Amino acid sequence: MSKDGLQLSAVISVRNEEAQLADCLQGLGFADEIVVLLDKCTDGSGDIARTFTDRVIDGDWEVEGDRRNAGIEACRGQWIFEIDADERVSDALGLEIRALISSTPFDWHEILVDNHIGDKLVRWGWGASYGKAAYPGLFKKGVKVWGRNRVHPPLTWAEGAKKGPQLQNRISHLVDRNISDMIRRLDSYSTARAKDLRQSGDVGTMRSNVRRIFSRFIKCYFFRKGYREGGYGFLIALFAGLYPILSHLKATLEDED
Amino acid sequence: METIQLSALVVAYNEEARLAACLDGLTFADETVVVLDKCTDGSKSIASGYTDRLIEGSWDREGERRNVGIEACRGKWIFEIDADERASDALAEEIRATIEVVEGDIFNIPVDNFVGDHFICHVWGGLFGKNGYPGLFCKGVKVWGRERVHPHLHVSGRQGTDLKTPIIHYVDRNISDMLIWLDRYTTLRAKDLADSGDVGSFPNMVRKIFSRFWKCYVTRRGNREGGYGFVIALCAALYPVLSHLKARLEPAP
Repeated sequence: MSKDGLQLSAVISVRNEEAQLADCLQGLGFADEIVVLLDKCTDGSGDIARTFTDRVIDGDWEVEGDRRNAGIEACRGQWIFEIDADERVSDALGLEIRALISSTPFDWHEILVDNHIGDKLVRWGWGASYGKAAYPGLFKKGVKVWGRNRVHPPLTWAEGAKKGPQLQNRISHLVDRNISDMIRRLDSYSTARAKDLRQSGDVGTMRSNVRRIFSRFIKCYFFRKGYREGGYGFLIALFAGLYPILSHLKATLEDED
Repeated sequence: METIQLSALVVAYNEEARLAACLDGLTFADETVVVLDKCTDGSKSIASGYTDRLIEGSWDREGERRNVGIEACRGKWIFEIDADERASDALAEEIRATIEVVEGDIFNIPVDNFVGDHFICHVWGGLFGKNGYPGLFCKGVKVWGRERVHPHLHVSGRQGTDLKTPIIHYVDRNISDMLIWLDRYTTLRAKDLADSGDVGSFPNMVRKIFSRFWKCYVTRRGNREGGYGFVIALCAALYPVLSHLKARLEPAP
């Protein structure tokens, strides 16, 4: 037990999420505390957050990884459950998390994700940086550190941290409302990724990124069984395939504005 | 009595960022007509600094609002230009000279397309840009069709010799603009498909990804334009399948 006796913190970082935030926070009553990071919020997110918790941190983070690390840092619980505003926890998942942390010998666990596009559950085909099928969202404080990237920061695990089995219950992720949202997400991800590439000094080659269109499409559509989802599965695979080349071209052809 | 020989027509939908630069180039016309479609930004106040011939309204279809604009022009001749286009002094002179010596009722104007500051020579003619358009015509000879995207033109009268001076067309500022454009046009195209009752078949649309990419990138020499040529060809390639999937998976409420 940590010294103030908190066993479980739920942490969420948001940027202008007033439409979604209340629905998300409503599902977090199973945690001992809720920590909300408000990143450059100019809408009603702060007011909504404060009706659920007094652990609200205002700030301005440029890099996704920094923001997430700041949220983890602020948690006082022994265990941390990380969630985004567009995700929802069922009662069953909440109960499973509580039961698990009082008995598990491991240091972190993955949670499976049910992704929804609009009202449709799209279970297959996710991955390759355009969506996640599972994420390491439940972990002991101190074992997980985010890298300093703008999109899809890599994770570093503490030496000797042990990974446990995945949870049975899934978190529900409202990833996109429709195909327009999917296209816009491809645009914003590739813009952010282009910044990372420019900063790293290595933007890659056209040739290898063209190859990745096909290899990533095949990975998502066939190996991850996106074909089972019909048209949406096709689009997930297509956009996962286009993400590297668009990032590369934005980094090569365009300066930061 | 006032006789108006030449009207310039601009149709704008929230174009405050680009409208002034476009209108600056239109003083060679005898009047400028601006159609403001659902504008909620500063477009109206900008336009009213240049002309009192403003028509405000809300049109669902591209062709309808263009026809309304043509109708409102009082000139014998009409020069149609978009807010993202610029008429140079040289083009202005050529237009005035052309309508002095009338050898036709409708004239094509060539287009120089730019993405940001990057001049794109090849590739156009599919979706994004255009190589030329019948932008100078006698009132009454040109009527727009009712399609939401790329409406057909119904043209009567004699086709004159193409103008030589190109109009400058700022297609997009960057790749993000292209993707936003792709999103917007496929949504509109999906509505046209749904209206027509025939959304096509998925295997066909997948085949079109490859055939259209080839046409744009290889046949039309988009490969000479480097990365932007690639993105233009990619968008042209994806346009049918995205329109098809939007029409099939996400019927309008």
